[in-house]
Amino acid sequence: MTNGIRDVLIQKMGKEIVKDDEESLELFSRDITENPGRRPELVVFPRSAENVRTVLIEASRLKVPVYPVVANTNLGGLAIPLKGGIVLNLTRMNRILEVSEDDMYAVIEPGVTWQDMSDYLAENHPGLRFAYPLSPPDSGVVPNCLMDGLANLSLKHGSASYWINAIEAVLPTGEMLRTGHLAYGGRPCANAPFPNLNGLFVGFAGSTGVVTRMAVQLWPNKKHRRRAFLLAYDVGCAYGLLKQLARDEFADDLGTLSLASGKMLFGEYRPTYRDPNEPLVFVYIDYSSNYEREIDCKQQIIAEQVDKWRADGARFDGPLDLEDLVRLEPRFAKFAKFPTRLDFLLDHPGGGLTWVGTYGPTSLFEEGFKKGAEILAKYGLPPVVVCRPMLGSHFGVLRWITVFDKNNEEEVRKVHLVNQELSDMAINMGFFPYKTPQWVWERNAERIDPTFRRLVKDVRKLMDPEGIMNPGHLEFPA
Amino acid sequence: MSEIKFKVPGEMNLLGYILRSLIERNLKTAPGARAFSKMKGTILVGASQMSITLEFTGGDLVMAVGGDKADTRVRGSMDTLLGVALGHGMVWPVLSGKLKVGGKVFRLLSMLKLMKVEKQK
Repeated sequence: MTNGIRDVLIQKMGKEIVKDDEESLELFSRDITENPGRRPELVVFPRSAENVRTVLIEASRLKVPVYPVVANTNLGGLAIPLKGGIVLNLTRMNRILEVSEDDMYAVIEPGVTWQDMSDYLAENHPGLRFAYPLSPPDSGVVPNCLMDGLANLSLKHGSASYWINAIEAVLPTGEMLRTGHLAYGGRPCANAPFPNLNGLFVGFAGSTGVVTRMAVQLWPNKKHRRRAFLLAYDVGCAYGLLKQLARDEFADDLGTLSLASGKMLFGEYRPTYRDPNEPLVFVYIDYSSNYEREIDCKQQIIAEQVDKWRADGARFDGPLDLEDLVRLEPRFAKFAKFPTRLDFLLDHPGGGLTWVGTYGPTSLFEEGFKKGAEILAKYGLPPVVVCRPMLGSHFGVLRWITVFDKNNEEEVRKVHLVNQELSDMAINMGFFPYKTPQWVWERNAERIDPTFRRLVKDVRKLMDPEGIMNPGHLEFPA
Repeated sequence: MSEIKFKVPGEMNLLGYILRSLIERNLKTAPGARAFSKMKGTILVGASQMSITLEFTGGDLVMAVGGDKADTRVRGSMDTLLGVALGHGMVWPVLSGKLKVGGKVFRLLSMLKLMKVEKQK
């Protein structure tokens, strides 16, 4: 199947970075989602852009599929080697090459994880901060930026592709591309004023090349940071408050977690029961400042706004400061410091985790929350729903999460049906799944503008003439 | 070995999960374990509109959502109740009417030992 590429790669790069033992192949043949697995023929661990170039040149010559991965935790099944071939494991390219204090950017390799960034900045540049998602700490920064994920500063700075200043990528032809200010050897402080060629890699599911360096924005770290939690008994009021606070532009992050998520934190595997007198969502408000007076003022404003909503009939408990919440329930410490590992989603019998995560208008959060909860209830699943306004509330994430037993075929089938139904409902409402799974493209191909589909195909063909990169993903049926 | 159970497995509200967690942690302390082993009777705890009944049997506890019969009753807002757990005191909330108590109220002092959290460092 791999047409002798194994021997060629070993000859050119050495045996230690080319693996085809059972354990390696098995490990990369599946992920934690319900998506069916497929074994690769090789797993290659490049150490440099030059190694990546060698792999892509040889794979193009011999027409062998290549699937780049870092943590293999993508929840859209995007790291599964659908056509076999080579899994290009980028974890050994994990250097933070440069951090500019003055111009507030970092240049990193594709294997750098959230934990790497957090540790490095804390130790060497405490005056700067980065944004961290709820993904596991050992997942990659670069893939998340390229797949347009989100994080705890996305309310201010948008989804992760907005943070990309410049990239260096190896194209499947073996050419090297440098964008933004890297294009002429300048400091990668922005993409402007260049044509945004970063876009050739954003949202393309690794189908246009392998990014080997990325310059990402950093932001000033603040001396004081607080996080407040509220319990809301009415979803409409919760989103009304979020909208107002987002427009006040003083929070770093805002969002809601449904009550079921909270019960999972307390160790309930599948909390489908709901007492009608219970709150429906936790609202969290993250804010920071360099000045104690300012952060106290923000805290006061939040309390005043909540009181105003109460005076209008809304039911909220709190706000409760995160420190107090952690004293009451130490498991809430999971939300105190990012990056964090949400073990209640990952460590359970069967180990399956999946979602339908979508981006769309924040004005439809309430409707989406309710419709999604109804679908989940129909399948006997708890309503684990996360919402966060992003980019000043211009859009937001609405995400339904399901944990399941991967070894139970019936559950896997059910989860697939649930996700299809959730995705259909979301798209009909005006939300679209991000980190888009292939099955979403297939299911909705006809709804997508034909010129858009053709251009995606043409761009892929232009960048990857032999069609080796991530075949089977981001493909529209003919 | 003390045991804390839900009357109907999986059927519990947020208040119950919070209280169970607080009691479990206090059971690991000597005063908490002593108080727990001596507790007998039923306590109805209400926070905002949630309520649960705690049935102590001198070493075990069964928790259930709702309920209307109990030897001891305590009710307030979630904020007030959590404030008590956080060590803000019970006297002022009771005197100010934020916390309403009834029945065998002295039992609440033992209950307090089971739901308090560590002092802020």
